[in-house]
Amino acid sequence: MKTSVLFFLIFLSQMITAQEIVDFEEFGINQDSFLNGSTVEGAFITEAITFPNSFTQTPEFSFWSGWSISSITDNETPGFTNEFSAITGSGNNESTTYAVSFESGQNKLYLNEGPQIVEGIHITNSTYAYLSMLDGDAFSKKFGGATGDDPDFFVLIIDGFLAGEAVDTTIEFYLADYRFDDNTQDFLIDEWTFVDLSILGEVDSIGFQLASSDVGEFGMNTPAYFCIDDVQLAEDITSNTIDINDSPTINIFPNPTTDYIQISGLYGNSNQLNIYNTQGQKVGSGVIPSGKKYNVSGLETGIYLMTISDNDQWYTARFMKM
Amino acid sequence: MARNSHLIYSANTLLMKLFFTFAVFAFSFNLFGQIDTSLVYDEVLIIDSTLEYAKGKQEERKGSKELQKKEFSDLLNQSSGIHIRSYGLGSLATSSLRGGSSGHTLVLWNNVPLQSPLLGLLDLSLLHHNAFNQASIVKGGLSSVWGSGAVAGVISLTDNIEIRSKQKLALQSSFGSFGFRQYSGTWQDNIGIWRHKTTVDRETAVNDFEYEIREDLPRRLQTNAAYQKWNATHSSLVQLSTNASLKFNYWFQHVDREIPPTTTQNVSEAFQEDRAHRFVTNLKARQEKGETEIVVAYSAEELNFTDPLASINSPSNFNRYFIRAVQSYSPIPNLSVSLNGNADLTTASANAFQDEVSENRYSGVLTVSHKKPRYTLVATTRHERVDGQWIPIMPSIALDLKIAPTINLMVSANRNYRLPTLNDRFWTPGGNINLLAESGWSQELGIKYNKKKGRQQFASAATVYNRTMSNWILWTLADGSNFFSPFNVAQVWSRGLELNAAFTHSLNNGVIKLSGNYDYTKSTNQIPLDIPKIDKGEQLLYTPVHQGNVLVSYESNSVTLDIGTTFNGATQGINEDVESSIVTNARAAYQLARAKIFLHINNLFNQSYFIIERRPIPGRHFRIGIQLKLF
Repeated sequence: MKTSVLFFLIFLSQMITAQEIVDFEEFGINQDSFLNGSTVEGAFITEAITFPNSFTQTPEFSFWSGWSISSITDNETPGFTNEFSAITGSGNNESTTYAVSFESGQNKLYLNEGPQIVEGIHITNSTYAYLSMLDGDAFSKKFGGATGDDPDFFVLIIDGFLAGEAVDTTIEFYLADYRFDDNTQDFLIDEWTFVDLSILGEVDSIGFQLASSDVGEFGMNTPAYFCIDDVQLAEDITSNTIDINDSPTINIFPNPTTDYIQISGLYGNSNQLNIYNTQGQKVGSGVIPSGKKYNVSGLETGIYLMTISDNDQWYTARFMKM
Repeated sequence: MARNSHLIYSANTLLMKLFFTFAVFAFSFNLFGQIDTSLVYDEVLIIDSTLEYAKGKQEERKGSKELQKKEFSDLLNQSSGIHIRSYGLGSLATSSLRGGSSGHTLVLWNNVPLQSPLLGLLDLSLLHHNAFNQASIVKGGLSSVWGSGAVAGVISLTDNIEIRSKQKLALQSSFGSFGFRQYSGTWQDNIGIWRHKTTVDRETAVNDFEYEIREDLPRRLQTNAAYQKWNATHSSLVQLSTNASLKFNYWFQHVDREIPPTTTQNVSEAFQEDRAHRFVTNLKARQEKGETEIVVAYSAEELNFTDPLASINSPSNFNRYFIRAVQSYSPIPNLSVSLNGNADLTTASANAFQDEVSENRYSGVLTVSHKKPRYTLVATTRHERVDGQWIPIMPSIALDLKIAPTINLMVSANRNYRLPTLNDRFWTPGGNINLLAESGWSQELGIKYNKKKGRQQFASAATVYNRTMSNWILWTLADGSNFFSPFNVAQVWSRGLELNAAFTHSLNNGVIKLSGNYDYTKSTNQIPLDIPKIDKGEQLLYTPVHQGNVLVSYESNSVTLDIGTTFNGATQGINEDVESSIVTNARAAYQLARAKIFLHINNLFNQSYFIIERRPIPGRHFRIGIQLKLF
């Protein structure tokens, strides 16, 4: 018991003083390559953040949406074939790797360690969207339109979420803004730009939604891509959520599982349990039975986040349902 | 929430981009504009043959009323109820009738469908004046007779050899604005029972016209809009006996053209190649109380779209065999029964098809017509089987009743359908093999007044029509899907009024004609959709509610002059609204003994206008040419 408490204090101390940066270099991809989800199960997972990805492969085509990991340097080729490229041609601070978002609706990322403050994130345009807005293509207009005076914009709307509920604050970051009376002030973002997300407060997931002035009957014409790098997670002084891997006693098994999760090492008797899918939706909750065996057979195949309460402490654990 | 059509790029990959273009075009984008006169500027014989088409046949002259010779482009521009959407000089142009989509007008060449079975539509800019010398536009539902796609009407183009044709060698050359050049030659001969005609035509244009963005801004130069076309045709007619003839038509086409940028696009390097070989043979044998007709046709066509900037290379091709056998019989005077069997067999390939795909259609048509001096009544029914599935029976009935010496009343009711295209069915990803045919009913009521007195003739007509189409196919995003797919999701209600009037006054050496048309067209979606964003009751995109035209012409043996003005009502586009426009064209021709000189001036008053938003149309431009008949 003393050992456990000591470990917990050490862990908490680390959380208070640490600032983690997710820079995607840990994926270790070679320059001019990308990961589009063909080799992962539903998400790119770093220690701190989960980036969902949807990938479908048919004999003829492959489709992806959500997040991809990239190190493409070609920032000159227009069009869809260069969809994994950032207009900067590299990651933030000339780093190799960054992430690309492509999603027609809201694209989210999830903080693996529960509610936390995210200090900020570096954002830039994708080459595909940038050149489309700069020069136009057969389907999308060049920003400013034929006269150069059209008040066009391409904005990234950022929302924070806590336990599935959106927080009050919304951040708008303009990837392009041609609404100025003086056209010389019109701009397209072409470098990594730090966006302060700390004003969202404590969140457990962040949603990104693109909107454009170039909208037709079939929806937004501007390619729905942007790129991120160096996500900075702030110290967490309010949450006492602990990754279960850092608990010396608590353990879950089997993982992956097909029908139940066995939880061992709990001290308390009335332990609460919540299960969330990768979209942040709560898909299960309740009191852990006395046998500490929780039935998950009704869940669909996928990756889930579980939170477990024990003696006023919340623990998080990821598991895979087969 | 804005949704992103660029999903289509990711999900359906590069090839989808091309198809998206055509899928969008195919969705009831009923435009109204002026067709590029470079398409067809030779005179063709205009045939009024509505009832002949309702009976499923077109006689070469007999049974059809020969109206006049005029340019096909004028026929399209000056007819009522038809809308031409042009994406610019030398670019894509499609037609639609009475508020239908471009796929709801069937285009026939020598009574054989011309539409691409992959796209379900025909690019009118590929039509060539040497390929036909008769043309007619027949409005109204004709699916019972002509099958899929004849929902709103039929444009029929026929290449016939003059019965009394003589040996002829003719050359034509013309040039015009924006680097337009055209050269052609025609050889025609009559050797015993064999009459034949061969033409070769070469046409090029740069199309580097300037257009206005806004008065205070520099004019912009159109780029990447050049084209070159080769067309060659051959027609043969062998008179086997006094009652039997064998006709053969061939049309070779080779078109390369660049695809220009939009007004909101700095540069385009896209281009398209079209190749086609089309063969039609027609055997006719008349009996004492009937006639047998057998048509065998084959076409092999390719379309290659390339966009180097977007790394798109999208080749596609199809081969089509078409066979029709018709036996008509008149057991008693005034009554005619016709039985018609058709086979339409297509194979097609495209990068977006996993394998070569095929479609086999077999149909039978029964037509009964009863003709009396006061009326003509035609009833038709069609039953078709497509790839093992029966299409519902398609009946139609039409009555032309003379209620007074100068007044005819016409009424008809039809069931119509349009089959999904091969792209709708087999495109990967997204193709939906479970699509149903679009289908619906149409009715129309018309009255014609025709009075001739002395040297003057006045003709007028008024028609009201109503058409509903269910299971209308649209490409949309299904819930949870990453890519577009076609579904039978829409229902469209089209109704309208067409008014036509023409006054003709004959002079000693010529004829003066004044004519005008007005169309009121409501074509509305009846089911709201999210993608594309459509509200219930919303007018279809690019479909003007009001449109009209007037034409004044003078024609004598040696001189032809005409000036026509077209009004296009405002429309809603995919991205922006399109303002209304009034455009005037003028024509002049002078006939010498062995030569004819002609001059065309389009957009006479140099109006700046659009038919499709972001697709520029040139200001005033001209064509001038000469036809020489060597012997």
